[in-house]
Amino acid sequence: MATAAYNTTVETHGASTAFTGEACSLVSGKTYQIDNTAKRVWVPSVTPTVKDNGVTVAAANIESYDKLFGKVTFVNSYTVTGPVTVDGNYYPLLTLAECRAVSAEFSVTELNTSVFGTAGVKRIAGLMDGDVEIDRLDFPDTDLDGGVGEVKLRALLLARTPLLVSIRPGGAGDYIRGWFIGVADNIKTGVDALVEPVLKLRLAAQNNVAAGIGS
Amino acid sequence: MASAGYATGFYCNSSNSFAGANEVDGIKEVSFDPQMADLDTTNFKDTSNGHTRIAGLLDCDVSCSGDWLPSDTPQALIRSQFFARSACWLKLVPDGTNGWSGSFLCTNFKVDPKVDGLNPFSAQFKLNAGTITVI
Repeated sequence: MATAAYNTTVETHGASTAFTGEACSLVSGKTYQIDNTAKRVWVPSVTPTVKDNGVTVAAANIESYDKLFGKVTFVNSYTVTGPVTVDGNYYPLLTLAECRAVSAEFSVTELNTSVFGTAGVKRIAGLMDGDVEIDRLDFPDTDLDGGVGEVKLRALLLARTPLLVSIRPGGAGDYIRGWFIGVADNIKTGVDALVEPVLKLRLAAQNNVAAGIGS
Repeated sequence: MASAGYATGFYCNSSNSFAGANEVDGIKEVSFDPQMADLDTTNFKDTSNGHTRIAGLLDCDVSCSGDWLPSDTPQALIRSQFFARSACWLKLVPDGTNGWSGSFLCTNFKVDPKVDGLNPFSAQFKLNAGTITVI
């Protein structure tokens, strides 16, 4: 059933925070996910340490990480003993307050692989790209981090700092997450109108982490 | 005889097999646009005064739009196949019974919720495996 958009959440990343011994549970096949939902966005530049029954798993037995949703996938030939735990660094998520509209659009380059003998066009997907636009009523100089640290969008944009954006349409179900850079920070206002900042961001993969969807 | 759009069925699966559970929920508009490349074979010796053509490669664009439903398995499959760069099998039956199916690549999807609206979702596809089956 369709859901209203007013519960949509839009978040960005806070300060990198270390974690140790976090429990992971089986998702399916050889893929495990960190149980703590608050620690599922892992720092792209940090390689986690995965332990199986307290013993560090060799890199050769790790097929991949999903650092947007806190997952590790073991190679097919590896037999998990359990329990699986992980040490690493995560980003807590900070809410972008007073958002009133968000647009996230992703695309892939289509590469034509048609050859003689095929009656119709054949294709494979090439590079992915993404654009996000966030309309807010909150001025980008607001400190999003209520703690000791300071996270101000305008400062991050001017510093060319990559931003994680996590969108949950309707506030339920899947998150759409990705790493982006700010490309525009438009402020529109009028004497009898609101101040309306519009942030525009483009996909900017960090350490092989681009974008994905999950929970 | 004209048919009303509400009878349309739009299905998505990871393989070429469609059951009721594969119907995509939340979709309100679909467009299905098969095209044949037209290859002009007109030459000086033709006396018809008109172009002559033959059909070349088949191509097809599909687009759908409606409401974001993360818990609907076929709709979620569209998005997961996009990020996996894998094909989706789509079936469109405008009158609920007759239509087309084929293998497509999702080349674009978009969500753009606004505070005073629903959560919209749209996706675009291009023919992937070169054939379309008439149902």
